[in-house]
This record gives sequence, structure tokens and C-alpha cells, in this order.
Amino acid sequence: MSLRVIKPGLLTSIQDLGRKGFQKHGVIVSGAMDAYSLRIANLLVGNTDHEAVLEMTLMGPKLKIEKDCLIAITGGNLSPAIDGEPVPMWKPVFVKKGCTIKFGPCKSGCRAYLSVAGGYAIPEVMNSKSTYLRGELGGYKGRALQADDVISFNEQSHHQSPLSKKEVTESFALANWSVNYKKFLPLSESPIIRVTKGSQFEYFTESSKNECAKMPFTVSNQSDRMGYRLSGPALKLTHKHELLSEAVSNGSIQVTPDGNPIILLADRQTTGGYPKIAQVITADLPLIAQVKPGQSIRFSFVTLEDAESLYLQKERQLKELKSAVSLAFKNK
Amino acid sequence: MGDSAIMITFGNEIKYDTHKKIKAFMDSLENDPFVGLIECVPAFINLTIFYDPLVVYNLYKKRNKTESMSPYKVVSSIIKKRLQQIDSNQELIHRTVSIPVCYGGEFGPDLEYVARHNNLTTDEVIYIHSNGEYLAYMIGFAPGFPFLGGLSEKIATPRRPSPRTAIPAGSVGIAGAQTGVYPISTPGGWQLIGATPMKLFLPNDNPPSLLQAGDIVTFSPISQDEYNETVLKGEGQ
Amino acid sequence: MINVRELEEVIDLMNRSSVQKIHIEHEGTTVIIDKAEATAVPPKREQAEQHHVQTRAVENSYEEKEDQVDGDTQQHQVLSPMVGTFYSRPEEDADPFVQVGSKIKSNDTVGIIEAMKLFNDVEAGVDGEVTEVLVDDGQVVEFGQPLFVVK
Repeated sequence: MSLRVIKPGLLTSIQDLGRKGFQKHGVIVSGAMDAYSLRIANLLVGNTDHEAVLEMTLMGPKLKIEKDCLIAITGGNLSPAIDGEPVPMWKPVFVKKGCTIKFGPCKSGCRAYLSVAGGYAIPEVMNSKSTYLRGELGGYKGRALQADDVISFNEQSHHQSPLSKKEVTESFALANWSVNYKKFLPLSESPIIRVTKGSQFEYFTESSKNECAKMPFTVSNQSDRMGYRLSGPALKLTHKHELLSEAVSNGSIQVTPDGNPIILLADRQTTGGYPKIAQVITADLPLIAQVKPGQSIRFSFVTLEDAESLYLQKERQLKELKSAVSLAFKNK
Repeated sequence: MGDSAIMITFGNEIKYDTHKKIKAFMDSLENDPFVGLIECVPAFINLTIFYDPLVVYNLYKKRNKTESMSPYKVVSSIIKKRLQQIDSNQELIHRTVSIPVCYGGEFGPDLEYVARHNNLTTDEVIYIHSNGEYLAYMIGFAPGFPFLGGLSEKIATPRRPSPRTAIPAGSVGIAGAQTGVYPISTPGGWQLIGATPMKLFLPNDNPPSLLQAGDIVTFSPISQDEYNETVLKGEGQ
Repeated sequence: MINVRELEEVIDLMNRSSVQKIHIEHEGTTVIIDKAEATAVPPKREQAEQHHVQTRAVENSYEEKEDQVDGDTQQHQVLSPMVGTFYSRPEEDADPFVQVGSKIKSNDTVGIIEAMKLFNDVEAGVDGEVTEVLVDDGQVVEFGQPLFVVK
């Protein structure tokens, strides 16, 4: 007994970095929509960066903590509070047994991540703890969390001690440092998402290619972990192409026959048969994950070389953050 | 295909020869993976290779002591070299998997429609369907779902005009010139002609899919009693 | 060759630790970084990306203690605990933590210093009233550099 769900929130599920290596069997990857926030949440409590955390969506849950623990909350700002007092994100927080963590209105972004030192005690299915909601496998009983679910924590990591040794008279204690999260998650009201050309980019008319690069698209309400449906200028093919099913990737932007694009995300099917006009660069996938239905986005085409260097830059920043965090733990 | 995957196209239509090349190349990559390879996903005419750009970058940086390099270019050149080493004349070895199917009745609500559409009797549809040999070109759409080629044109039937919201796991259907089996319950527009008690998606097994790309699939008719017995005995695996 | 980025990381880590001298040998190259001699200024590299982390070695002029008592006027200086970028406010559009005239308690946060993508709270370390703010918002500060004067 470690954490009890009082209210589950809109969609709260266990996710890690996904179920890799089984796509040729049709097994979808799943995993956190915003992988950088997941990795940072884990770094902040001393976990390996692929450990499973709770992914919470728009309306967060209400959780009872039944064991002293070190946690971190990252991602979108869903107004977290412990026993009624607002608690800062992007830093380690030592929480005392008996506290209640409650999430309130969504102030920025869409998805928040709650990590616990040691990780949640969730069995792996196909090398991953991620929940595949439609396939009802992995995570906690293969589904989103419900009221009265109880999740245990694994043995806590050595990083537990420094904060807990501090005199904790309140419900929780905070580290005196936090992550400069804007470096990893620069959220804005109408974000510009960088993309490379999709496999079938050349199938589209010149005007559609231009519109895709210049016009805003609105994220529709039919958007979930599987993908975001967008509405905007109808994107047209130069002529009808019979496309055979082929593999798709995280961030592939398919265009359905009605001309509307769909951005395929964490719970996407492994293969698809619609032409792909563009591909979101890996470094910008977390930005998409934090976009709410109704928000508008724009695409900006970059070269593959740019996509790669942006990806490597993010990885360097994460590496730097990792050293800084372990140093901060040692100093305190 | 973005900064973490490369798609290699081997042909432009569904052909056994193309499938053979894809399968041979995938096998060679899986038997001797390059550093950074995550997974290969075969399809009808192409193979997608997913890799970890950071792993590729770090290894290459160490070996060549340079920082200005593109993981994509490194992986591309590895793939080009590997492609030259493939002996595409080698014959593929196929597994044959027989899937028992209880045709018609509650399991195959569209069997009569398929028969009417093709001016056949339901028995003729069953006979044609269960006497075919089908090649699993790829697995996708849902966990364990095979894209099967080789359906007789005599029983090809277009999809239903409006899809069902939930098709039970195990349903065997026809859509155009394709036939397939639904491993998990999903929405879908296929014409359902029967169901198998066999499980196609086995999350606790490795591999988790009964069928693999390259398998030959046959269907054998069973009675409703045999179907129920198999389900009761839990012999679905 | 040891790459510059890795060297930067090492220097940064050193600046934040009590290590005085480090000797690295790697594939025939030897690098000695000695804080006391302040000789470890690495070569300037092409600015390929935004990098807020400072790589200069620590200067000797500042003493390694939290506060400095200035004569008999009971003036304290709040010193920077590390090399980094100083921020006077918690968020871009928020009010500063403290201004001239602010009454502060020893454990109050008076500023933030960013180093290696981490925001570190700077605690006052002393009770009193801020009489002078010595650094600007966004300014790069050295280890031990005075940030505030407190009476």
C-alpha cells in the first residue's frame, strides 16, 4: 500500500518510454506522450529515466499517499496541491504519509507526470510497464486508473534520504532547486511544431504543401493518445494514390481522404495506409503532447540535419541536467 | 522517415518476390543488428528500420572522433552496405499455420451476404476460403493482425458500408481481396464469415503474435461444438 | 582528444564542488585543471547553441563563506553560492523576491541562480533589511560574488 486513488481524473495511466521491439507483431508502442517530462520526473527522484510514472490528462486525479516518499511533478501545470497547499513542479518533493495530492485546473499544457522514488510496482508486459488502453494490457490492470485503485512503490532509491532527514513538520518538504523546464518544454498558446517532409510529401499539390507550412491548424476534440485530428485547409493529393499499408512513426502526419491531417502519437497503430505529408521532429513531440483540443498550431519545415541536431542538443541538455541533479543531491 | 527511422522500398506492388527481399533483409538485420537498431517493421513493399540516433551518434563519435555527423547518414551507409550483401536468390522457408474456423451462424453474420454477392452458396464460400493458402505479408493495424494475400477472387467482397463498432476477437473476415482474423476486439468494416477459437495475440508469450510476416496460413472448418470445446479446454494457444 | 563540451562539464562540476585540482589523461592528451591557479580557461568554442553554463575558473578574490561582515556597521553581503545566471524573480512577469528596503529572514529565498539547467534558490542566510542590490536580473555571477547588502 503506497498510493490510493480517491478520484481518477480524466485519464490517468501508468506510462514509461514505451513498448519497443514488438511493432512487427502489430504491438503498438504506447509510452508517455511527453517523453522529456517523464524522463525529467524520473531524474528528479533518482530513478533511471525510463521508469514508469503516472501520466495525467487535463483534469488530474486526487491521490492519497500512504507511505513517506519522494515525488516529482513535471509536464503541463495541472495546479498540483498537497493537503490544500500549492506545490511547485519540476523539483523533488518529500511527501509525508497520509497526505493528499490533488490536481486542480489546467493552467498550462495538457499532460502532467508524477514520479515516485523507486518507481511504481507494476509488472512488465513485453519489456514495458506502459498501459496500452485499447489493447487492455500493461500498466495497472491494462486500464486507466479508477477510484480505490492501490499502487505500491518499489524499494526507494538512495536519493530518498537527504530530504527526509530534514525536519519535516509540514505535509511536505521541498528541495531548494528546480529544473529550468522552459529549456525542455517551451509551451506557448499557439506553438510552432517543427516537421520534416513526410514519406509521401511529393504526392501533395504545391498549394497544399504551402498551406501545410504556413496555415494554422486547429486540434479537434477527437484527439487522444492515439493521435490528434487537425482541421484547417484541406490538403489535396495531385492525383489519387493507392497507398499500401506501411509502418508509421511517432509524429507521422497522415492525411485522410477528406484532406484533414492526423498526427499519430503514442498509442498509434503500427501501420497506416494514408499518405504522410510530414513528420514531427522527435525534439518537438513533447510540445504536441502538451497541446489541448481547441488550440491552434502551425508547422515549420526543417531539414533532417536540423531535426537531428535539435534532437542531439536536447539529449545533451538532459545529460547536463542529470549531472546537475546528482550533484545537487550530493550537496544537500 | 524523420530523425529516428528509415524506410526502404523494395518494389511498388504486392508481389511474392518483393516480400522475399524484404524478409531476407529483415532477417539479416535481426540476426546481426547494427548498434542502435531498435526494430524492423515489414510491410507489403517496404521495410522500416527504427534506430536510436543518440546511440548511433555516440558510437560514431567515439570511433571517428568527430562531432559533425548525421546519425541518418551513418545508418543509411550501413544499410547500403548490408543490402549489397543480401543473397536475394535464397529461397525463403515458410512456416505453415493452420487456423480452425467455425464458419457462419453467430460467428459469421456476413457469410450469406458474401455468398449472395458472389452468386455462390455459403458452402461454396466456406470451401473456397478453407482451401486457399494465404501468405502473411505483414502484421499490423492491431496486435497480431495478419495482412493476408491470396484470397480467391471468387469470394472477394467489398467492406460493409458502415463499420461495426466492435468486432469480437477471433472473427474471420473478408475486405475486398483480403482476408484476415481480428486478434482483439476492435471496430471494423470487414465482412465477417466465421471465427476461430485460437488466440492470435499472446501478450505473455514471446513472440506475442501467433503469426509472423512470411507465414503461410490455412483455414480448416470446425463445428460449433469443436469451437466451444477448444475454448473450454483453453486450447486457444 | 578530449572534447570541449566534456571539459566544460568537468570544470562546471568542479566549480560546484570542493575539488581543487584534477588531472585527466585521455588518449594521449593530458589536462590539468587547478582552481587555485585559475589556469583552466578552456578555448572558446563556436557558439553552436545557447549555453548558459559558465566555464570560467573561480577567481580567488572571493572568500568561501556565506556572508561577509563589513566593518562595524553590521552590514552583511549575501554571496553567490555558485557560478551561473542570477535571476531576481521567480517567473518572468513576477515581482522580484526582494528589493531595497525588503525585510528578510535568514531562510528566505532572495534570488535564483541557474547553472546546468537547474534553478538553485539563494537563501539570505541572515535576518535584516536589504540596503543594496548588487546584480541585475539575468546577470552572470561568479562563485562568491556579492549579490545583496543586508543591514
